[in-house]
Amino acid sequence: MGKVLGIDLGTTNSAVAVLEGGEPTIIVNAEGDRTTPSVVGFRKEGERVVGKAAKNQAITNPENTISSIKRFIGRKFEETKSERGTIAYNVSKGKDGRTNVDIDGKAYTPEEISAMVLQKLKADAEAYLGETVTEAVITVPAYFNDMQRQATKDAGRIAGLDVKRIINEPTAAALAYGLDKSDHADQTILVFDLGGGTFDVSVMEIGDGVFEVKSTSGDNHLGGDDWDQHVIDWLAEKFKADHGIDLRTDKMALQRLKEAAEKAKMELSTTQTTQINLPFVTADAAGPKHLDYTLSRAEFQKITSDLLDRCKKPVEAAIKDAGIKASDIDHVILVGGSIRMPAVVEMVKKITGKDPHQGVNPDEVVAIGAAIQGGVLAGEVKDILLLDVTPLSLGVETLGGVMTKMIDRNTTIPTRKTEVYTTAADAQTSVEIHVLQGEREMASYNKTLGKFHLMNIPSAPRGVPQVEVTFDIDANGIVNVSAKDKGTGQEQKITISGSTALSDEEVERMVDDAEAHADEDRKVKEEAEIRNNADSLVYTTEKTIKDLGDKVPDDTKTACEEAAAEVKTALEGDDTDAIKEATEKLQEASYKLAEIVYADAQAEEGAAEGDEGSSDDEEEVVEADYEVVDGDE
Amino acid sequence: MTGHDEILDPELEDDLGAEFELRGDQQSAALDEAREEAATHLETAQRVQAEFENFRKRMIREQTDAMKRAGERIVLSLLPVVDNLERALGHAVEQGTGEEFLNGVEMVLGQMRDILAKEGVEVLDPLGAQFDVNLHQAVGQKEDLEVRDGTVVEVYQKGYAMHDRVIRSAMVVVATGGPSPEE
Repeated sequence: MGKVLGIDLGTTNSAVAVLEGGEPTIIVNAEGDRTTPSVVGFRKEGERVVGKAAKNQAITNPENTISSIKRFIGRKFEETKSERGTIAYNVSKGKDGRTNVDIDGKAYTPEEISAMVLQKLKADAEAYLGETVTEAVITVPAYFNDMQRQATKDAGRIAGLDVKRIINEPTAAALAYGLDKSDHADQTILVFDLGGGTFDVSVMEIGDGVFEVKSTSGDNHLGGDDWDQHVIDWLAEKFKADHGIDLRTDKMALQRLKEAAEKAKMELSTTQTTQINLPFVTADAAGPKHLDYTLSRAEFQKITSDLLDRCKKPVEAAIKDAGIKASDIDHVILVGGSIRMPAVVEMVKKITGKDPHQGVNPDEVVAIGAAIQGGVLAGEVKDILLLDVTPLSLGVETLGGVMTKMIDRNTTIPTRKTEVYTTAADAQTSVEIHVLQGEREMASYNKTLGKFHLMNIPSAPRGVPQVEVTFDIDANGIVNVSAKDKGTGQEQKITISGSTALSDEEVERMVDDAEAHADEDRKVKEEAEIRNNADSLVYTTEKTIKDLGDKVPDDTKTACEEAAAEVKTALEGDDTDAIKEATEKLQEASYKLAEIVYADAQAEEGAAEGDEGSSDDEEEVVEADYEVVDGDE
Repeated sequence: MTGHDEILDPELEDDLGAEFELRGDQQSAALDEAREEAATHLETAQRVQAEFENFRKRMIREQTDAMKRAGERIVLSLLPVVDNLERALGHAVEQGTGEEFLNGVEMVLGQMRDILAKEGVEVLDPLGAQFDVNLHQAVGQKEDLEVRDGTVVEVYQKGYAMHDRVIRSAMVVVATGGPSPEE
């Protein structure tokens, strides 16, 4: 069982996605792009080029470059009269009155041309995935009739693909948003698809996972390119008024205008104004001329308002044809790159009164939905990938009542994680492993899954014993927590079953709870950390003084001891600021100690060059063990 | 069962034998089932493993690519600056601006080109070369009988490649009408 490609075979651009580990991924083509122009070019040398290369040579080879073949596939020659005027290649009447494309006296069916695009998509997908793919789900507009669907399927077959299913583009978009999984009764969905050159509106109804198209509407020749053209005209007219030169008659200037217009349009989707400047755009007898204009979003919307109006009518028509009212619509989905324009989103919101679904890249949403459908048909989702995730984080309680996470929420299981902890006090001979579940920073606010003790740890200074804690969750969500004293090898463990068997509401409540308390939790955790730091600094200072013995001058010793006493007093109280302040003082005082330690170490190093034993002393001084505790956060 | 022949009386043997066999059948059926199940699991595991291996390989490849391309976006947005500097110099030469000033600006442009070259950016300036669909974007055609058909006769905008990938196609005008390139 191989992978099933989800193919959005578009009029101007196509995209391919595939399910990987249950997640849809867009396939990057050989040129490194996420979409491929649906263009085929027949070169004079007999070479055939597809995609960006075909688009690159289109102007030098208009009669042998086929774009928008989707407008002809599965249609009778008689039906395509209006389309024929918009293309530069030749079409003729073929077998059974169908439309054929004529290239150098040879007739190709639209199926064959589409197959050439599909072949490239297939080859690029295989290169990307590193394996052969033979199966696909291809999308078509909701208004496609049986002939057009069959022809699309045939195109897939010619390209060497076993087309498992042809699905509607709006259905694919709804699948990408998971609307088929909604548990509510019948839902009405409006899909608004504004691409580069075509505009489709569909109203669908979904019940029990079955989609039914209620109505379709649109404009076959309206898209983002029209918005670009309006900006080009605006710039050219303005320039003409200022300098008396029409840039549209100068080919090089026109190319630069085109690029600048598209860039300005895209920028205005996120900013309120954009600067368009084209230095040296042209020249006259007086010298070079520069184009430098500011376009505001308001002005942009004004000059393109006629286009927005052209979008409005089909939406209203689709709602009316579906026999519903705008208020009956439950979901609105926006598809196509042009819906990034804020005015378009606003318009759809205004008509439908609904906030549209957003989040999935509008250029990729149809291919992603097709890949999801492909995954369902392949049974991949059921067979292999029934892997669960931990709904909440798991961890243990550490010093100061802090929950230290071992396994983060949403980690795919089975999984396993090991961390090494140590003791918090001198001569501590047992540690308590308090297993927690939840998202709060402090242990007490989370759910206790279990507790156990690891006893008989050999008496040692704090920070020396090493306790290895391992969390292991198997595929059934059963959690095994074990703690092992690395010194003695003795081990204790606990098995917790059903920890993942929380209801969705419970999980949601706990996550929301954590978010709501995030700030105060952070504060409490910080306080705990401040206390831990203070405590640990007192400990190491006292230990260092003891270790260094009479190497410490009396005044330094007194200063450190006094500062340490102050911290201890502060620790008895609840004033965090006081603890912090006292700790800082102690820190400063202890720097003197550090100087002595290093001077001492250096002196020793000089004295005992090559003596390996000297490294032992260093280890005792450095706070490495303490950092183990700290480093788990 | 032959081992039991001498110990058991025939009647009992018949009874037991039937039962033994029956149990034997049950056992072997259960064994078959378990084997089948094990085979399915093994296949699933292998498939998941294989998929993961492929995924891992691609991730490594993509990561390398991503690192290479990290600079691509910023380079791409700087290219118009290079274009316009070149245009400015073109005009300055035409109009005979002061030579020293011109040299200075040329040095600035040179600096910029050096930086780009160090980042692995390659300039595609195909004037006079054969049109290549993979590197060039044709924006016009010009009848020219003097040069071979398909020769780039004008470059509106230079193209740029980075790490073997065209990040911007050269914008060109292509000659038509001349002798075919093979001749």
